[in-house]
Amino acid sequence: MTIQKTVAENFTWYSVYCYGYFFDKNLPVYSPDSKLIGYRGLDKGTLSFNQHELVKTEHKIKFSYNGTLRDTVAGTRYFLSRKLGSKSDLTFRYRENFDIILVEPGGNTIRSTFSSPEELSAVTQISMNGDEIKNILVRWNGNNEGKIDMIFSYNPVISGVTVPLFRLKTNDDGSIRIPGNLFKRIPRLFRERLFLTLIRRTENSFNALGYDDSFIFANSILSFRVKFN
Amino acid sequence: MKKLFIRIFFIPFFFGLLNYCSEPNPVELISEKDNDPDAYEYELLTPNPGEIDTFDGIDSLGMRSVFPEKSLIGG
Repeated sequence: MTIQKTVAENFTWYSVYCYGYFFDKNLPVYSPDSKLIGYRGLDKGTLSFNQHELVKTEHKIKFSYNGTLRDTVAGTRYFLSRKLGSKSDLTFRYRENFDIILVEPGGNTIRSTFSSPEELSAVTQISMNGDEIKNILVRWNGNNEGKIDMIFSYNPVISGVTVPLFRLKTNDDGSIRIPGNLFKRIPRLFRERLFLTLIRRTENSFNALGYDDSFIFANSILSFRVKFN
Repeated sequence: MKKLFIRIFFIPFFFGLLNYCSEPNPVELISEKDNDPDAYEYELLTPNPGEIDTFDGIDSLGMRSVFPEKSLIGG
């Protein structure tokens, strides 16, 4: 489950995404050139988050083959979202407990409770050395409760497909000065549409409920554009 | 001898000091974390950003849907 906060030019909006996957590791999916690209998703019954039933859809795996993007359907995934403009009544709040209920085909009901992470807010301060990036200082509302992920990405206007460039994992302590050498391999053109995504995640095991290697992730995400003056 | 000493040592020092004072360095707050090599873990996600990469269909981190379609924000 992900609560995504996006900030752009005096405008902030929130989206919620709920995903459910039950992968069968005995059913791997390979590309035509024999690369493992994922596992088949199983239909395990009815899955609900906070009494909102997730919709069963096709689990599509996209992959590149001979330089072109392809996709294949590999079973089922569960999905529910509320994006900007959506009329869905799906709501989740930060720092709130939510229920996960799985009703298996035989009628067996599995329940679990989990809490969503705290909301994120952040600012950046860029130091330049001529035309080179000296460092980027990122400050956020750290809570000193673990780690936080930062992903720098490029979002070209034409395709709209976001390209993740690199990820940093650091203590959730409220600030980091990212050295400029990490940006050297990034084309200068990308500075026009460079985005920073911060991810605060809480994780819970589903193992006690009879599923091996199963986890529940709740993410608080903040995305915004890194502005170069 | 005394004047020579002043010329050799103090005059270059004086002009050096003047030069240093005329170009103040920007002030930056440096925390201990800035100099800690273990302050973060780094992972390169797209070695060649121009190439099409694989995508397993899961976007639970919202990395690939940073912004909604333009029509939704009236852009």
